[in-house]
Amino acid sequence: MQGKILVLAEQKDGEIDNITWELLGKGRAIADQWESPLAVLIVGAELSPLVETLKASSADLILVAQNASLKDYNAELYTSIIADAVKSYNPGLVLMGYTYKGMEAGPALSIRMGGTMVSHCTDLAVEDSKLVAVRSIFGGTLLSKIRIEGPSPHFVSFEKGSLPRENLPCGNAKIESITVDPEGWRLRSRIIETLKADKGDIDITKAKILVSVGRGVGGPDKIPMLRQLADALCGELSCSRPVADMGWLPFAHQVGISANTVAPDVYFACGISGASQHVTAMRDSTMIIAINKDPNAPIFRVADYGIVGDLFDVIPHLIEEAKSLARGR
Amino acid sequence: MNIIVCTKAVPGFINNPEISENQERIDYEAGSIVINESDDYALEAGIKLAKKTGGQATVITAGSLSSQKVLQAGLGKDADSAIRVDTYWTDPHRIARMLSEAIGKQDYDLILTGVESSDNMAAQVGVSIAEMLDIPFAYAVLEIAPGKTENTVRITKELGFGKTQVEEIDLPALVCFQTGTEPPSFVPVRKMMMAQRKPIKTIAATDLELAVQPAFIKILDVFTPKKMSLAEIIEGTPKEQAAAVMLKVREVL
Ligand SMILES: Cc1cc2nc3c(=O)[nH]c(=O)nc-3n(C[C@H](O)[C@H](O)[C@H](O)COP(=O)(O)OP(=O)(O)OC[C@H]3O[C@@H](n4cnc5c(N)ncnc54)[C@H](O)[C@@H]3O)c2cc1C
Ligand SMILES: Nc1ncnc2c1ncn2[C@@H]1O[C@H](COP(=O)(O)O)[C@@H](O)[C@H]1O
Repeated sequence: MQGKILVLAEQKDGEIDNITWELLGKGRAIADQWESPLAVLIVGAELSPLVETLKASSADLILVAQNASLKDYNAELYTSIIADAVKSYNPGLVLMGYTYKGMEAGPALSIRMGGTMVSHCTDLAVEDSKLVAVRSIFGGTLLSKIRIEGPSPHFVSFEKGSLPRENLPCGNAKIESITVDPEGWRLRSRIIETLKADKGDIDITKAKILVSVGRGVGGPDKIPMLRQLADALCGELSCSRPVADMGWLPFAHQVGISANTVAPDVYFACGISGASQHVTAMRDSTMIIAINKDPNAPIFRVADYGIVGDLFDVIPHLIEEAKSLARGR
Repeated sequence: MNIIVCTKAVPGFINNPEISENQERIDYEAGSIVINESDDYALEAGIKLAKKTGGQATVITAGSLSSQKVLQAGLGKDADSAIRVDTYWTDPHRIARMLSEAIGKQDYDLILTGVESSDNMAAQVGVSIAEMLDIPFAYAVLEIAPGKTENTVRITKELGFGKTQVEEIDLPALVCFQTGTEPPSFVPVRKMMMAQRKPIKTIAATDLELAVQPAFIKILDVFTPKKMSLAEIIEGTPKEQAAAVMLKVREVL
């Protein structure tokens, strides 16, 4: 046995976020290899329905850190609570998402515990009794396989969607509450307010076809051409973060962890490299078609069909084909 | 407010990646050297805030001589001083250790970094530095302004999925900056040439009280994502490719 394993659960809109099931699947596999117990930690307010859902997982133990004052997410407080839980559970391996929460908590925990952080992984395995991870580098155009040699506990974060979701075996996890006393912490940051972006009347999450624009289109003057394609397909335009940052399209069109999660029937990724923060939020689309001039662009990892080439060579023909498809229907 | 901005020199694109002999880094031929995207936003915000509050802005990088270019860009944008920690290390843990040791010796109220570097893609160095110096941090910050009192800053940070949060943080603090809607300014050639004549302080790793430690990771292999790709690549002329794609689209509609 190389130490216990702990998964940090995440929630979204009052439900267990899918990353949790992915992490539990990986955690279970390594726990079985190590013959170690697997625990999952959930932090927040009003957790009973979520704990009920987690009971169906393969975890041996559910650690519940619940307090009404945790309703509004406060990174500093969350990190401190997780750190205390990690200290007392004393795992050898902690698995989390490469999500906002994982990016904040992971490095902080690894330094506080004197452990080792390895982030942005797509896979993890045990080889010769050491942990070996695969992670994206250089804009995702390369992947590296690395062996973790630093001190334990090991903290590993995963790109959401890169691990298979666990098939729910009927678990019989024990439940253990963790005492949370927010008064006891001397916080060095205070939340003033939490705001939600105003989306206006555009809702790209409802579109059946999305023509998504990346930085590779080169400039705002190219947007009309892509709009023609979207219109011919009776679809909607969406985009990556730089395109919204630069104001080529409004924020309401942005796909990614900082904006919208989409799963249309068809997603055209035009000049989008396929960064994990983008891909996470569109990889559940029924069909993904990527057009990119770089054959190593990571978008091809999730695409069903790919065209390697200059998008301006292909788009005019796509518009023509889409128009005749529309006429034929 | 004295502000230190961590900026990383990253390659625009790379050729011939190879694992170094000690298996601790990846060597490559760089197509170009640029400032990491989110660091450029941090730099802009840091210099503005230092000016507004009558403080000094310092740019710092950890890297080999070629990484000086990003410090000159910082000086060109009117940073007051520049520091390079000379190293061939690239792993986030030891880079954070080095930067925190070097920054710890400076007089600072606020440290700024970017969210994620485009080469290492770790989102790790910023928060690690904060923890090593035992100061509060905020991640994915879009805006920063002086706080209610002299000892705080007010930040707006992303929580994801269109949500943001406004926070007041006690100084000294570390803030990881995100890209945003206000593009960083462009340094005119004349200013860039003047910046090249400004001094850059170099710190050798041996000047820092760092125990020489091996990297926490060993690199075993590098490969392209093609190996993991399941996409069917459509060949042919653009016209043929477009026709083939639309046939596929028709299947799911
Ligand atoms: C905390 C955090 C949150 C983030 N949130 C989001 C988010 O919500 N959404 C998001 O999208 N990103 C997000 N990002 C940013 C993300 O990491 C990437 O930087 C971003 O997705 C890159 O956008 P892009 O693919 O359009 O641009 P690039 O990465 O610059 O890619 C451009 C692509 O276009 C190709 N190309 C160029 N010219 C042509 C041509 N003529 N024909 C064909 N192909 C061409 C290139 O080969 C390249 O692959 C976030 C990052 C962080 C750290
Ligand atoms: N070698 C470096 N020199 C200066 N700053 C760095 C260095 N490496 C990382 N950083 C900072 O830390 C941020 C996150 O980097 P990373 O953890 O590599 O994704 C970057 O945006 C930089 O601001």
